[in-house]
Amino acid sequence: MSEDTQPATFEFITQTQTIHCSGDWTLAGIQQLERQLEFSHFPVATIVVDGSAIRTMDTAGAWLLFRTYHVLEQSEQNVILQGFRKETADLLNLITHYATTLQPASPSPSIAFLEQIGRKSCYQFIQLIHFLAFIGETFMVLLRSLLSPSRIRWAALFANLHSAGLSALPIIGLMAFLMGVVLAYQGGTQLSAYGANIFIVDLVGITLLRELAPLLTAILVAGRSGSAYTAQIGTMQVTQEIDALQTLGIAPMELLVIPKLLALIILMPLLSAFADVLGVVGGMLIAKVSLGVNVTDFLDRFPQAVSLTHYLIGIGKAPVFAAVIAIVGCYQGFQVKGGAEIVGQRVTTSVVQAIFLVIIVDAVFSILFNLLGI
Amino acid sequence: MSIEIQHLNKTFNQFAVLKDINLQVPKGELVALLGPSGCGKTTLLRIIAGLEVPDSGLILFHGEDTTSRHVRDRQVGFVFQHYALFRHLTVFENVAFGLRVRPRKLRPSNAEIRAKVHDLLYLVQMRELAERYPNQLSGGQRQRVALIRALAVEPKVLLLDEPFGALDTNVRKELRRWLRHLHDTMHVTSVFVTHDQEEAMEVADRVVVMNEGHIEQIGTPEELYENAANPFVYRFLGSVNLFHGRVQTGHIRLGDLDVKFHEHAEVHQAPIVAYVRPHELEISREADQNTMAATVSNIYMLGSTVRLELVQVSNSEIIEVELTKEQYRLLKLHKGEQVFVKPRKMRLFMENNRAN
Repeated sequence: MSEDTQPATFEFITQTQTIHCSGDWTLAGIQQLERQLEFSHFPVATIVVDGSAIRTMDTAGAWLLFRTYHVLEQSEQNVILQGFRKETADLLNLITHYATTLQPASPSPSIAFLEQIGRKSCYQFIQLIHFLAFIGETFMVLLRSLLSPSRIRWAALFANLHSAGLSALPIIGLMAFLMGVVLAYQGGTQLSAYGANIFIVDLVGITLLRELAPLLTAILVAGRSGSAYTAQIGTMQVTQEIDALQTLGIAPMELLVIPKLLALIILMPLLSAFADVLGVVGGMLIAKVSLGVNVTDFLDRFPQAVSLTHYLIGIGKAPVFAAVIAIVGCYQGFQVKGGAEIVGQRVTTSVVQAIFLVIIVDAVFSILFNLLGI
Repeated sequence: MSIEIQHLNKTFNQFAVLKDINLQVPKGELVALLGPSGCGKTTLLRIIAGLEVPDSGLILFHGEDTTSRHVRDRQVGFVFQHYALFRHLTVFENVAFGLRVRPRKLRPSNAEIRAKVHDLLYLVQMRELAERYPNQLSGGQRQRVALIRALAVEPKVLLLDEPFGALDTNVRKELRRWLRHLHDTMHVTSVFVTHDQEEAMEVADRVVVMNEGHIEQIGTPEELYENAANPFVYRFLGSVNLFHGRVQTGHIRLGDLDVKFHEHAEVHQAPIVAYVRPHELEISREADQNTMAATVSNIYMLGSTVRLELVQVSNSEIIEVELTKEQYRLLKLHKGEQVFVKPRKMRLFMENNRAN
């Protein structure tokens, strides 16, 4: 504290019902003053605050005075301010003006928790509506494209057939082959215990054709192509290429979504049939090597063991999986807003959602076929 | 085609981005939307294009209501700050794209498309780069491709969103001049967004200064510079020195300075701010009643001009002065020296004059 400052003081004179304030009401001596004021009690109905002896005041002092004033008023005492110099009064006015805009205390944490649940639910609900809207729009555009095939972008369609189909053959083939191997090994040990080695044909055939081949193909395509769709559209969204397309008079739906959707719907049954074949070959190999079932025996047994229905059910599910993957992939791409890091997040979401939805759809199919007795 | 905007409002998450915008862009004019970042200029441009939907208000193209028309049917050309070229297409195919994807009935023949794209490439002197891909081009070249891609579809309106924002100073200057030249040959009604006042002043026929979602002033570059409507516009259009003072019936006191003031002669003891541009200040070594004393604290040589930083003796506020090399040489100034500053010209704003 420099030498020429006077400590801030106040004095209450009961006869005149006046508080005389004096000294420097500044930050330097405010702590002491605050404590004094806190323990003071002014037991009168009308109280006068006289500020004529205040030498200087800063916002801290003004705030303290304002707070005291406020406390007095709340205990229903009448407060009159008098004798304040213009500068001090201006400062007080300023404080009063801003103090009234203060917010009430934040709500209790339990309410915040509930609020968060509410907000999250609302957000999810809105997301769902958007997703449904996107599905609706896609199918309208698809229908229009199918009715007038001149609207279909054939070049884009063939490019997609190539990238999502032809180039996916090796990986899908290898996966299906190994799946057949695993199935035959695991099932074979159980079957040979009962000497029912020939039933390996039923096991491998039905499981692969009806369930595993289409499902695993879908999971692989979701990871391979669904993510690529999200990344492509998402990046175009970031670089404003989607906006550029629109201003050039092109519907992004027709150029980007429909070719992908059609390509996958065409491809998935084919890929899944390819997986069927290689899976059965894998099973056949293990049947020969470890169960002693000859290739001819295996092939003889196959038509009896696996009916056409199983094959058709498997192949029939594939286009539905394809639609799910393509729509989720494209939708997540269009949801990208902001920078490049969002693209990565959306790609992850897209793969997880697509696989999850494919499995749900598969479960629904199982229940449905069970009820129908097929 | 003329553009008219009436009572346009737009909010994002309860934050008002545009507040009651009214604007007219006459046919064939090149108009700049100028403002600090976040003032809503890009949103306004995107609404004109149809990429964003306004909450309320009307957009008229050639007197016809286009507010609810889809962006694809508006026939606007849009140039993006980061070019938004199609990466997997060559320069030629990028420019041709808008024509190639038209429905068969409206599509020009292949030969016509080729001729047109070559004309446009010639216009931007990029004929020999036609087979390159966008990532093999420099920023300036990419932006030129983006521009002719927008022009290839013969838009009624050309909209440019900070087209030169991502380019370095020299390329930017060249492209600015080139854009002006292009506009003078094609006369497409154009609106371009920029935060660079120099760019706006150099290129545009008229400049719209925006701030916090509303329009501060509309005028030709000269009008704005000479006759700024309010302190915001004055400050935004170039660096400026502020002198705080008080009006005293017909006089103003600004520090040591006493200036006659005839407007608002009835006003007494009101705060006022004088705005003086750095080049409107004179430096001398003799004091008179129109000068204020200051000491030289810094000297910056900026090529053709010299910028001085002075500290006022009376209140130690900083004054910026811009001198030509000649003036500087004649004055023979050095750091720490006391000089006298005299404003040749000043613009006065009452401190509460911020109504609009």
